[in-house]
Amino acid sequence: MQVYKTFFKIAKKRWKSATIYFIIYFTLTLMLSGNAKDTFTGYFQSTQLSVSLTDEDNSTASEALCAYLSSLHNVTRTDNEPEAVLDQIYYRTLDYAVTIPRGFEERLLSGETDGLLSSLAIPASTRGAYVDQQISQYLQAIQLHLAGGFTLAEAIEQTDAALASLPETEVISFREEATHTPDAFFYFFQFFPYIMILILCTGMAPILVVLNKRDIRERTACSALPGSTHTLALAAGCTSYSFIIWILLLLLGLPRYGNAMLQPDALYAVVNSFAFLLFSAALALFISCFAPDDNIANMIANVLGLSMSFLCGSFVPQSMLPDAVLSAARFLPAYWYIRANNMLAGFGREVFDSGFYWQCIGIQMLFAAAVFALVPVVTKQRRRQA
Amino acid sequence: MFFHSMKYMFLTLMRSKSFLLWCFAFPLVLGTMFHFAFAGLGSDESFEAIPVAVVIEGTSDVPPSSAAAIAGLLKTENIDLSMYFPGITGDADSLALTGSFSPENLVRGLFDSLSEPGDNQFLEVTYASSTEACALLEEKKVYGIITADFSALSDPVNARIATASDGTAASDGTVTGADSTAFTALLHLSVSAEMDSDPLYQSILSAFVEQFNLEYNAILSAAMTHPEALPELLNAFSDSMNAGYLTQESASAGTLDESLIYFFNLIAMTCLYAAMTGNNVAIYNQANLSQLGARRNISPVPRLVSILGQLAASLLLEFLVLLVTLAYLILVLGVNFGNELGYVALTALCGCFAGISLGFFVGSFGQLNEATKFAILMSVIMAGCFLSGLMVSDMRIRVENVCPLINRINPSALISDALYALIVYPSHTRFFSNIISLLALSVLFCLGGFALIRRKKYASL
Repeated sequence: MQVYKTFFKIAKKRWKSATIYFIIYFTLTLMLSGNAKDTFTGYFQSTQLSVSLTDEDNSTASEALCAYLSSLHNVTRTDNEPEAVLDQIYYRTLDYAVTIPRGFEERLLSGETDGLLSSLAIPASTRGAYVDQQISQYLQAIQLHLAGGFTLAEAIEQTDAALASLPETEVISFREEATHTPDAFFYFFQFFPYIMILILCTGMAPILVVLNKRDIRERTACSALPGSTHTLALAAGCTSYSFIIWILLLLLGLPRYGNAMLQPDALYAVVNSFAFLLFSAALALFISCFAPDDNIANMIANVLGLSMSFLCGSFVPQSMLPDAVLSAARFLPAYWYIRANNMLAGFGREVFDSGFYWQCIGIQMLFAAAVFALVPVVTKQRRRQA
Repeated sequence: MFFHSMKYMFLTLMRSKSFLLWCFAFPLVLGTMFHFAFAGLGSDESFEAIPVAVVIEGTSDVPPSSAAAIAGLLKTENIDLSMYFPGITGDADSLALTGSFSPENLVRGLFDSLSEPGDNQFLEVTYASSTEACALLEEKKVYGIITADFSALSDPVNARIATASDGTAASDGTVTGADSTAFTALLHLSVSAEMDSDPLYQSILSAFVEQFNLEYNAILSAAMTHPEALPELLNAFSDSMNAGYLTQESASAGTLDESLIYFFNLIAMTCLYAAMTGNNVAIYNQANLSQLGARRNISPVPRLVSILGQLAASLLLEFLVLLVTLAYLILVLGVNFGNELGYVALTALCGCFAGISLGFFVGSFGQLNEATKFAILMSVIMAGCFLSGLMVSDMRIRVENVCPLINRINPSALISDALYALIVYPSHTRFFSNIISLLALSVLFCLGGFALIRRKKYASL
């Protein structure tokens, strides 16, 4: 009990820094999950892209083209701002920029086909090719109608009427389950690996480092307390600390995600996060064996947290990662955590499979057990070297 | 005394082996992880031929007159069929007579031309029955099924064409009584709800089918209302097949590789992690926070000179770490930082200065203990890195749209934007504006730090 109490006495001394870490990483989770919706969903609909349009012609034909593009995409009209447009294209917040130069209508009416418009997109990108295709299709249809003897107004009317009459694309589903939009709280759980590793390695590991300091360790060793009781008390301290952090994270998530987090579906996600919590606690315990100071503990936590998050599909969806990376990521527990969460949320259209879910939980537990098992080995080794 | 302080600070840092090891290992390990994780990023952006199954239906329902209708129309005007429907040879008359001008040939000609191997290959076509096509779609071997349904040709609207070609139309050449705006779709697209790959390819297929149907109907309406204009229309069709309506503007001076944003932010994060040494400088000069601080406070050395020396040593070491990181990223991992490596190094130097001064400022602030100050520092750095796009690549531009001021005072955003400006813009205006902002911030942090710890006296320790 003495060791357990000491654990929390040290924790109390560091409560300010622990609270700061908790607040910043919890805020990051909320911001990441709020931002993730666009990245993790993708169902067929005529894909709406973000398009900026500069109309220097202001003619009937240019207005018709603007209206056509607006019916397909999220179009923003801009004045000539090349730098802002290029920035947005680079950061992929804008997919396509098109400029309708002066004299566009005259050239269209005269049957010219080359260089009527200028566009900017990521070179050779699918998105660029997609909008190119749509614009060409529209202008082609208008020119065909013009060549067929119609006036410009008639050609636009005929083209628009034909566009309105186009048949819908048929969407075939080969599965019986109805597709559903993932609940928002699954995005919250998506970033758990990074947050748990960071909070526990920067908040809990320094407490263990203090307890493992040579003077304190030797003082405890020469006391009447058996070694096994000391280890158990430390394990109990770590478990309680991790458990409190985990409960706090879940409780603070409640006001943001409300009743959705209380539904039975969410229980699976909670169990999954608990499995990863055990691994994170084991990892913090393992790192503390090397007695890092705060600086180094933070660097180790960030290397592990960021690497695992990027390699295992927490920040970037697993469907976008190369196969070789995913194969390597199987050797990391975060991969199995994300697989289970993907399945629960339906990200990447993964379907829930109870057997596979428990397999993911089991693998995470095994990783946790393996790291826990390494702790006494490393501790003994380091004591021998000391 | 400045150089004395600098020398011993440098030696202290060099002898802290675990810290030194992690200073170097941190960016190298993360850079390597980024390199592997982002190897496939952007590969979905480049266009590749779209696998598609083509099903041809209803050819037996096409009345001979309708099947020959288009050929007849074209023959009337002595138009070479192969000009419009690649893959079909022979003139309209012989095609119609021999029967090789079947609807199936028409569709195959179109799709074969679109799937010819080469740089411009648009589709990768598999002809199949509807059952086979469904199986291919379910196995995700194709992005969609395009069904060419010729049963539409037997409907009354299309029959008008046959009538027109038979010469029974009105004397002025127009077809009366037909609804010229009625729409007949020849091609239909089906996609799978379970296709989890980029749905953009499905959209492109959808746009292609729309385009075909639009062109087909444009020919139909013109044929029904202005048959005399048909040759001109077909010429226009031929021209538009090769049209380049859009001129691609040159995007930038360099690459637009999305994964570079993560590497820029890695450099920014490494620069800002120099704040740890700046923080230590402040802590180890405050008598209430460290024993070394107490020792230094009673020594007869001007605090400003001593601290400046220590900060300079920290800057030197951190700059060294950055140079090794950059060399590893550029030479080993092949990350493209552009050709102006001198400016890249200048950014790293200014970034390190910003990091160290930030750490020094936070370390000098208030009476909080070392762990709390360190936690505040790390929170500021992590929040800054998040807002500049370390975890979500487009975060910087999102912040720019909502509150641009944050990007002007966030050192991480300034460092990553300086590197970005070097790659993307040929002029250095934006680069130097970022560098000047970084230096101004660094000077402010340093002055703030000095103001906070100067002339501090301790009643008791």
